[in-house]
Amino acid sequence: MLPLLPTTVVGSFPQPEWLVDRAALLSGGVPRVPKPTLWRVPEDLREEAHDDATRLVVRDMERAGVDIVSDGEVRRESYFAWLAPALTGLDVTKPGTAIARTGRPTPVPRAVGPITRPKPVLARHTRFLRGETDHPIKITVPGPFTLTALTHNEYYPDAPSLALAYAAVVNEELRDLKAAGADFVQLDEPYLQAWPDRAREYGVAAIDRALEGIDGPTVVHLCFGYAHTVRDKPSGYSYLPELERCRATHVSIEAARSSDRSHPRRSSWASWTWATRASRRRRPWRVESGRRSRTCRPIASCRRPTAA
Amino acid sequence: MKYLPRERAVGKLEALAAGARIVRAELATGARLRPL
Repeated sequence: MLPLLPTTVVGSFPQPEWLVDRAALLSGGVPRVPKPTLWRVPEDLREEAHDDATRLVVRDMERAGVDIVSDGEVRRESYFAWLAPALTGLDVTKPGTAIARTGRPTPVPRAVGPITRPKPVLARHTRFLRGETDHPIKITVPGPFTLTALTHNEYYPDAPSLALAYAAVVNEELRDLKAAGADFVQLDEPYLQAWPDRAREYGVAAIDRALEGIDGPTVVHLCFGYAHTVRDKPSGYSYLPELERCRATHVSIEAARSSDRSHPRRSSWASWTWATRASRRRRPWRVESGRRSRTCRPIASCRRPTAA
Repeated sequence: MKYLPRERAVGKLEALAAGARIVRAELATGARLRPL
């Protein structure tokens, strides 16, 4: 059974200098389409290098005492850029443009046909992580709303249609991640916060479609953006109570650097997670993890922050 | 944490885990948490 107040990471962890050009990573902004020049390791050796980098991350997290371990997303150029190249209907070789939350134009995939997922994307990586630790593991996937926000749509009639198409392939991927041994799956949805009006239109519908039939703990993560790239943080969340009615069992938010005084622990926690209302009504989940099994219960004792 | 130096990221995780251990220990002894 997980301890009271189980600890985890949002998802990412620093990548070794031998794996990526960190100076280029730090200066180039968040990639939304593949940027292979970031990698220092040639493509034919990269998978082995990613496996080794994952081992380092797992050991760091275990030694630090983290309860729920991730692979640090060390195989990714960003939380976002890895999925589109694995799907049909998206062109990442001739990117379109979207306006990022910073207000700057950014190259993004173009939707040019029906979006499908020909084969699982992260299943092998999940099985690898599962084999490296006895801790419960978490895998993150960009959520359908954020995928839609950062896609130049030339095919679907409107943004909600595109979001539901993304949600269907994300759902397929999440099912494979669970089958591969992921205890926790997380949708990264920073653009729910960046575009709250559009989020109110179709955010919950897209999330619910993505999480349809996914058993066990499911997390939706919101944040203000990487601290490295987004310097001016807003004073609070513009889209948060709406997630109480979504299918996710937990909501995870960034709380560091927020000046929102309505957050009871606004400056003392980097980020925190609480159980949604839907989760509190459910039975505990049985989590099989390596040689041990645990019972995960909703974190009912966590106080819910007051949304701005 | 992607953009942090590795040492700083590890330090943050160690602090996080240590803080959780403190809270768990205080709750296990029945101590009342101080209001923020």
